[in-house]
Amino acid sequence: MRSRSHKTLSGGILLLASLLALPAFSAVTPWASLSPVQREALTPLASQWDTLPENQQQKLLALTKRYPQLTAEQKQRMHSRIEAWSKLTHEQRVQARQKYTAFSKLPPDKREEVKHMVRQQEAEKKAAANAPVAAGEAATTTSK
Amino acid sequence: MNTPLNPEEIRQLLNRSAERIEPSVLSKLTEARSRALAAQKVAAIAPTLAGEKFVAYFRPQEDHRLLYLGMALILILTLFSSTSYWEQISGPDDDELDIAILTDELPIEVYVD
Repeated sequence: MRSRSHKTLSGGILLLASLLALPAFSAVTPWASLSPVQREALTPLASQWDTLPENQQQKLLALTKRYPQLTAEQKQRMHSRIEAWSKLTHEQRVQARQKYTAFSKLPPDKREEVKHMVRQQEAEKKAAANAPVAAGEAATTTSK
Repeated sequence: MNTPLNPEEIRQLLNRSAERIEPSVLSKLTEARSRALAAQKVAAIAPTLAGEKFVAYFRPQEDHRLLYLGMALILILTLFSSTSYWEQISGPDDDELDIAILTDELPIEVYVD
C-alpha cells in the first residue's frame, strides 16, 4: 500500500518535472515560418535567427507585437539595437530594465540634462572618430 | 482464570501444533508463505523517492540504488533546466520595458554596463 503511494508520488513528481521542462526542449521557430511583420521587425537577426535558442526566439517575438505601432524613427532605432540586445545576458537585460525604470522616474528636467550630456558625448566620439580622416584629407589637399 | 502466556510459551504451543498438521496442509501453508514473501519483495523494490511528510529519501537496496540515483539525477537536471528556462522568459511588463529601451532616445549602452 505504502509502496504504491510512493510509486504514485514518484511518478507524479517526474510528470510534473517533465511538464515544467517541456517548453525548454521544444523546437525552435524557423525564420521562414515568421509572419511578414515579425520578419520586418527582426530583419537584423535574419541570418542568425534559426540558430537562436527557442526561449530567446520567444522573447524576441514578444517584442515584435508592438512593432506596427512604432514610428519610423523608433523602428530604425529598434533595428540598429536589436542585435546587440539579443546578445546581452539575462542579467544584463535585468540591469538595463532596472536602470531604465530608475531613469524614467527622474524629474523631466534632470532627464533632459542626462540626454543632453549623452548627446554631447556621442558628438565628441563621432568627431574623434572622424578626426584622422579629416586630417588625412586636409594633408592630401595641401600637398596638391 | 486464564494465565497470560509469554512469547516463549506461545512459540512452543505453535511448534507443537505445527507438528500435528498433516503434511499436505503443511506444504500448502509453506507454498502460501513463499508466495506472500515473494509478493512482499516485489512491493519493497518499487522505486521510492518520497517518504512521510513528503521528505525525499532513498531506501538503500543494493539492486536498485543505481535506479534511484538515476531517477534523482534526471529529476534534478529536469528541474534545473526548466527553472532556468522559466527564468529567461519574462512577463509582459518586461516586454514593454524592452521595447521602450530599444526605441528610446538614449542608446542601450547607457543602460548596459
